[in-house]
Formats: sequence, structure tokens, C-alpha cells
Amino acid sequence: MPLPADYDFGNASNSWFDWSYIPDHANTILAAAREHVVLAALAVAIGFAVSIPLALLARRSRWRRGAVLGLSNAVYAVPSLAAIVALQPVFGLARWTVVLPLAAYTLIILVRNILTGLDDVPAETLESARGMGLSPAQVLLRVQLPLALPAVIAGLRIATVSTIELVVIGGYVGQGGFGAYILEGFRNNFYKAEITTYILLTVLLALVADGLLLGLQRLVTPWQRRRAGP
Amino acid sequence: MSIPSQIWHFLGSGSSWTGQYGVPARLGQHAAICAVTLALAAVVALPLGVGLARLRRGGWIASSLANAGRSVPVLGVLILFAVGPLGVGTSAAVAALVIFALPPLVTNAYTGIREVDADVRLSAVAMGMTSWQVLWRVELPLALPLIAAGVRIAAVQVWATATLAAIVGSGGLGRFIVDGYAIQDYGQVYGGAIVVAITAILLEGLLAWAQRRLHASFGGAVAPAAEAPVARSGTAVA
Repeated sequence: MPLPADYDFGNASNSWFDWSYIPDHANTILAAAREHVVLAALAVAIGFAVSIPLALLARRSRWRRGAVLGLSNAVYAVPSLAAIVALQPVFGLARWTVVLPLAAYTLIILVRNILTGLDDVPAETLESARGMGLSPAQVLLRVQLPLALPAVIAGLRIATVSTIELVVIGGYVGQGGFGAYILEGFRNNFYKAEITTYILLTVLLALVADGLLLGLQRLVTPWQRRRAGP
Repeated sequence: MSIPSQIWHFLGSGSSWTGQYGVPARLGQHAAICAVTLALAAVVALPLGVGLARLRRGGWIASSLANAGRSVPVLGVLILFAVGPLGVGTSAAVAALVIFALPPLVTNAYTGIREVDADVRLSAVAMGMTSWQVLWRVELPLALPLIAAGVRIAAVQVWATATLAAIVGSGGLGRFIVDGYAIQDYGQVYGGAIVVAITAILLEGLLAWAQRRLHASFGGAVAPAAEAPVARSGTAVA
């Protein structure tokens, strides 16, 4: 069939955004969303699990504090693309290639905020907890950590939003949820509608996750509700 | 060939260190991209942050800018600019990097001016200073340590993120990672990753040192007051 004389190859159906892209690719989008959430959740969960002992270690002495904070700063300086591509031959297509570097990047925020939260617990409060006969573990679990919660959750919110953004870079090695499709759109003759859709979905996911964590914060710190704020 | 020996091969061979595709040339491109990015971002962000702080209602603009900067994927915007009118190459990379250098600069300039003691500002006014004199002689010098902290955070962030520029066809240290990955030459990938990581950590150390010198030269009166906000905004912005 001959093409019309004024057929524009350069701009043919390559608009910046196309609503019909979403229903046409609903299954792909849902699968990508699931993968994006799994990668980000694993990274934040691992980062959080490592941050608590690191923060407790950092509180033991001045030099340990310096060492822990210096380490998390240094890790953060390593570019994510370098870390992900470098882990690719080690883990191949396993999720660890993306999850481990992103977990390491959360330390800079999580360790600091856990430390700030624990440091801000008043000395008299700890004194009375010990006076009531609580063991060191009980003081930590029942007094220090609950009082540190607002700072901890504030840190989790920043770490989660940043991690959801960083997962996109995993797209470079064919992983990374939405990121894989942003890269696919780039390599696939600059398919703009695909690129834009997955960027917007990433931002949307970050906003939803942030809102959920804010809700969690309000839920677990009812005593803060009167002076609650972001 | 095992990966360690591939890295050794890449880092040890003379051709990795000379010519237009060598480490020094790529390092120069990387530094140029970062310097241009940081300069453009500072020209926009510092007046914006200072202006918002003096407006006194600019707080939510500064904080929503920081939040937006965290949730928008850098690589996505980089690619979006590359497929747009800027085209594949360095200008798309710089344009995208500028956007992501703005939040730490704006928030720290904003916080720096806002943290200036109200009494200090009041005495400056009482001494007969005009609004501009208060800004140049009182507020900006007192805000300088926090502004410098913002520049340091932005610089390290831009240096690490500029690696992504190679994906959209720009030069810089990211080329070793992208080119090496394309031909499965892991010696080049790891060699490039090692060079980027070491230079990023050196830059972080250098700027931290410069920041301490700045604190020292601005005297004891400023340093202790500025110490706490630096840590706080560092947390919020990172």
C-alpha cells in the first residue's frame, strides 16, 4: 500500500505521551510495578536491618561513630551505575545485582536518622527506665526505639523514595522494574510515550510509598499527633 | 581470563591512560561536565534559595522542590532530554544533571538564611543597614557554612550521577562502564568503576576538608552555631 505523500516518518505516532499506551500495556505495567516494588522493598528492608546494629555500634564511642558515618558516606559516593554493572557478572540476572547496591545507599540516611532519634532520647528518661528495673535490652526495645520512631520513619521515607528512584538504573542491566522499560523505550527508536509513562509511574509509586509511610508514622506515634508534621 | 586479571590488564595497559579514550581525557570530560552543571545550577539555585528565605513564605516551595528531586528518576529525565530537542549527547546530560543539583543548593541556601538569628538581623537593622546591606554583610556571611555544605553535597552527587551521561552518548568516566558493558569487557567495566569511585571519594574528602577550612577561617563565632544545621540538612538532602 503506498503511503500518503505527506507522511512524516520522523514524527509518525511518536508523541510525548499517549493515554492509550496504559490500557494497551496494562499487564506489562502491572508486572513491572510488582518488580519495582519488590526490588525497592528488599533494598530498604536489608538496608534497615543493617542500619540498626550499625547505629548501635556507632553510639559506643566517638571513633566508632566516625567510622560508621564515614563508611556510609564513602559507600554513597560510589556511582550506582558502576556498582550495578560491576555486580552483574557476580549475580547475573538475580535481583541481588540491583538490590545490594541500593541497600548500601540507604545506610547514609537510615544510620544517621536512627542515630539522631536515639541521641534525642532524654538522659532522665533512660535513667528512670533503668530505675524501674528494665534490662538494657528492654530499655532499648521499650523506651529508646519507640521514642526514636519519628526520626527513624522520617529516614525510612527519604530512603524509600530515593530507592524507588534509583531502582530505575537497574534498567540498564535489564532489571529495575519501570527502569527496564524506560531503557527499552530509549533503545527502541526513542519510543517517547513509553519513556514518559514509566517515568510518571516511578514518580507516582514514590509518592504512594511516601504517603503510606507517613500514615504508618501517624499510626505508630499517636502521642505526636497533636504536633504532627511532615 | 579471571576478572581480577582483566582489571589488572585494563589498569596496567598504557593505552588506558593515553589518547582521547584514556583515563585522563575521560576524567577531564567528567570534570568539565560537572563544573558546567554545578555553575549553572548555582546561578539558578542560590538566588532562588536566598530569595525564598527572605520571602518567609517560601518554605513549602523549597521543601517540595527537595521532595520532587528525590522522586523523579535521574536516568529517566536524562533519556527524556536525549530523545527531545537537545538530542543525544552532552547538552542533554548537563540539562538533566542541573535539575538534580538544584535541590541541595536551594534547600541549604534557604535554611542558611533562615537560621540567621533574628536578634542579629534586628541589630543590623537598628544600626541603620538597608535591606541589601543586611543581606550582603550579615545574612550571607552567616549563611555561608550551610551554603558551602549544599555545594559539597551537590558536587559529590553530580560527580557520581554524571556517570549516567555515558548512557545518552556523552563523554566522561561513565564511558568505560557503558562501553565495557556493551562488549562484555569486564576489565574495562571494573577499571572504570574503580576510577569513578576513587575520584568520587577523593572529591568528597577534598570538599569536606575545604568546608572545615571555611569554618575555621570564619571564626569560632560562626562555626558552633552552624554545626548542628549542617548535619541536619545533610540528612534531609542526601
